[in-house]
Amino acid sequence: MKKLSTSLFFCFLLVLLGVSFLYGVLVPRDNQAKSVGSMQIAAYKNGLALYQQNKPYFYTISPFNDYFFSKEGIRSSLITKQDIDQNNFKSSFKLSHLEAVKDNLKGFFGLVQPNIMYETKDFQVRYDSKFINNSVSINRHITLKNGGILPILGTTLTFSGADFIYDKSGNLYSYQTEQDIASFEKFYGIHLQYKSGDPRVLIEDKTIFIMNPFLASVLEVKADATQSLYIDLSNQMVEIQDTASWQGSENNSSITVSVYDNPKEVL
Amino acid sequence: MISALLFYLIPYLLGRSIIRIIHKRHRLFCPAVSYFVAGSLFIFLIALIERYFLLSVVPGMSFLELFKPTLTILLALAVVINILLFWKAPDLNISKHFWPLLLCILLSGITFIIWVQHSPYPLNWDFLEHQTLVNNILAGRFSYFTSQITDTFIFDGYSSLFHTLLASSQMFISADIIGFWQSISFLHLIMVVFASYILAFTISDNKGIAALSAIISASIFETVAFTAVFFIPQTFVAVIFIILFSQLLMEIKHDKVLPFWLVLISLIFLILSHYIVGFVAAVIYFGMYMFIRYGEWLKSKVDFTALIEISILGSIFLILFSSLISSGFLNQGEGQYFNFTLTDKLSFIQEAYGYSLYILLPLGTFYTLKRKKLPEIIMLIICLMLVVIIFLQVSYVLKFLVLGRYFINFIMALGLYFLISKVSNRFLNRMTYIYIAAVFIGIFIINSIYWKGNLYYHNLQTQIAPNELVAANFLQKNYQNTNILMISDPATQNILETFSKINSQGGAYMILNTRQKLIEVAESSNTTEIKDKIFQIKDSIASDSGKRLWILSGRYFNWQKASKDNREALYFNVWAPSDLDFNSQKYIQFLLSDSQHFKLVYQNNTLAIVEVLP
Repeated sequence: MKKLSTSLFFCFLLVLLGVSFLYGVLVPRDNQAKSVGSMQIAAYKNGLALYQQNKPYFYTISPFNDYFFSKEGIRSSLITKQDIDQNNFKSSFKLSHLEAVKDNLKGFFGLVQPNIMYETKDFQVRYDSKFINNSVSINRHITLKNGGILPILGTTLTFSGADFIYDKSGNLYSYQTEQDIASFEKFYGIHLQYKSGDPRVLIEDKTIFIMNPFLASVLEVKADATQSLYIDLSNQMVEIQDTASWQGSENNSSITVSVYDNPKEVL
Repeated sequence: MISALLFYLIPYLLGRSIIRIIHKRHRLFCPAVSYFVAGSLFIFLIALIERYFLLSVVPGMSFLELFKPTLTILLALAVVINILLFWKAPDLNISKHFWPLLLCILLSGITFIIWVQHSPYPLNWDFLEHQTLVNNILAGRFSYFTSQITDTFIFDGYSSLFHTLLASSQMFISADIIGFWQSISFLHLIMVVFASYILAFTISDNKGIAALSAIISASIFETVAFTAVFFIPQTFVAVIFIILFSQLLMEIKHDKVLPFWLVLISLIFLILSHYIVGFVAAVIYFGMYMFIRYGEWLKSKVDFTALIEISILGSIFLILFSSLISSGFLNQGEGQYFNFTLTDKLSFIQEAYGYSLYILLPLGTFYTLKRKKLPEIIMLIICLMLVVIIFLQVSYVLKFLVLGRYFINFIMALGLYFLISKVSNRFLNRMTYIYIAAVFIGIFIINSIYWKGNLYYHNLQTQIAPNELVAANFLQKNYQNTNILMISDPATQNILETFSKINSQGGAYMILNTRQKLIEVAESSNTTEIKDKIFQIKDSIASDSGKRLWILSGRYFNWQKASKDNREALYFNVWAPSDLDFNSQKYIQFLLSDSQHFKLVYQNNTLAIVEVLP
């Protein structure tokens, strides 16, 4: 009996030591990333971001930009600037070291997909990613803590000022020089026509393409039949707006982004 | 896989014939390593004699025309000798070594599967320059000095022994380069794990300690020494040294002393394989040999307690003041980059080992001193000596972890065994081994995620893009043997030169002048001026036909976006592949607008190949 208890004691000690060995390992500074076509997606402080490694361009889906319209028709972001300034929210972005170790190990076996959660006193919002080939579907799940409903919700994806933003018909919504428009046609066989006008444009065919001249990737953002797709040029965002359907205090909506190597591939 | 096996098999067969004929009486322990060492040196000697003597006697012949038939005849002879004379005297007692070998292969297999996850191409960046050198040997350019074979080597850190063996293994079977390096990396990993097992078992006579040493060895990935998964000269020499060292200990355990001529050829082999790591290995090896021969005399003359005290004080002094030594002059400033502070080094250690080293090394030291077994104390002394060297604030010393890790892992294994041996219940005892293996494999998983974290390219984690291989194939088909000079950023050059066999100026190690010319190219908006700058780039060894192939890859444009200091530095590379973006394509179009000097010959999503015309 004494032998068994000694064995058990040293087993326990070894288990603790093993955990401490693992705990001591340095983990990557960034959260787990996953490839989507030629880009990656990972959780950052501001939300889930699509990016290409070692390039300073990010396409972010964030509660700081996602918005709702109140019954009174007032637009407001889910987490407002005031919330940010006063630090009135919590996020799951910063993992503890132990969580990061666990996440990395689970990630290796494909058990973790990039996700992030934010919480304020009024609601909890969680973004989860799901992958199909070169597409990522980002599901946003909102739980209101104090009841009530938000009739209209918008999901956003930021872009950068230098991007080509165009639709299936070849309408170019972001300004590019004539030479660049000509080069675009020469390289990819797509004729673009610059369409100036309102800074917020409704895209009738519910599909938009985004290409950064410094990235070898094209993003395709599609809205569902029930959703409306807008380009907000002044805030540099794609907005997918829909009439929210609530199940109790919970709402789910998603945005699908496909990543291609170049505009020719999308055709 | 077959040509990777030939790397070990050809020298082994030759060495076995030589040693068995010359040295009939002495039955060696672990003879395979001596056969390999003797055979390797013999091959290298033949190559040197043919290159420096016979080629001057037989004019008009290339090195390969002489070397390949010689090696073929000698190998055929060796096969016949081995079959006829020594078939009945196997070197390895299969029944004795079956379980250890199986354990080592299993551990290596797990590690390797984890390592190649999402990475179908070797992640050992250095293999590219080594293969380039091998390509040159196979094209008939051979020298003792690596820097005289190709300007990819600007520094002679070792002789061309390692590459001669690689060339010999690729000479008979046309090897797929990727397959060859993946296979030889796996074989090397098995050797590393098995060497750790043999060393630990020889010293401790304990299978448990040996198994723990093998588990640690398979799972620890040091990001500076790269011992386990990278097959390069220093990792190669380290593993051979450990087996030679174990052989020396086996001999003394059986009251025998290794013949001096075998010791001598081992020393020569170690130093020729890597001048710095091999030299330190040779000093330890020869020191051990001398201790075996003259240990009793030494014990009577030397006060070991005083010696240890002086050593400890000297070590502290060395670690503290070694930072005063400048290393900026080393390897075009690259030395400075590898001059890590103590904090950096502790961080590297923690990255590789987690907290296991900090806990198990003291525990292992305690257990070693408690057991009072002389071989283990000697291991501890060597371990501490190498730890002191590693912590000196001198450039490159962290690379000595390639040797130190075997001794460190052994002392750690002793520490672990101290605890596991207290678990007397047989079932629980076995479970603790499995648990410890799982923990160390977990450490390896996180290390591999950490190290590969910056190598995303599409769904891969890689340094090589599939499109680069396709382009290399195009280059080989259309430009091989045309003496054309290829120009791009260092990383693209390194990859394409290896796979296409088209010469570049320096590969990843392009000289400063070439770097400055490329920086000037990026600053110019005049195509004639750009053309002139491209033609000012010249190879320092090979002559060229006067034509230039300019590879404009996604990497090239990323490299050009880096700071001037980075572009001029050897340590900076664009490690991950990158495709051509819109702006890169615009630049290519701008060049092609001057059709008199620039002609597009190939393009895919990752790169464009442009012929530059004078």
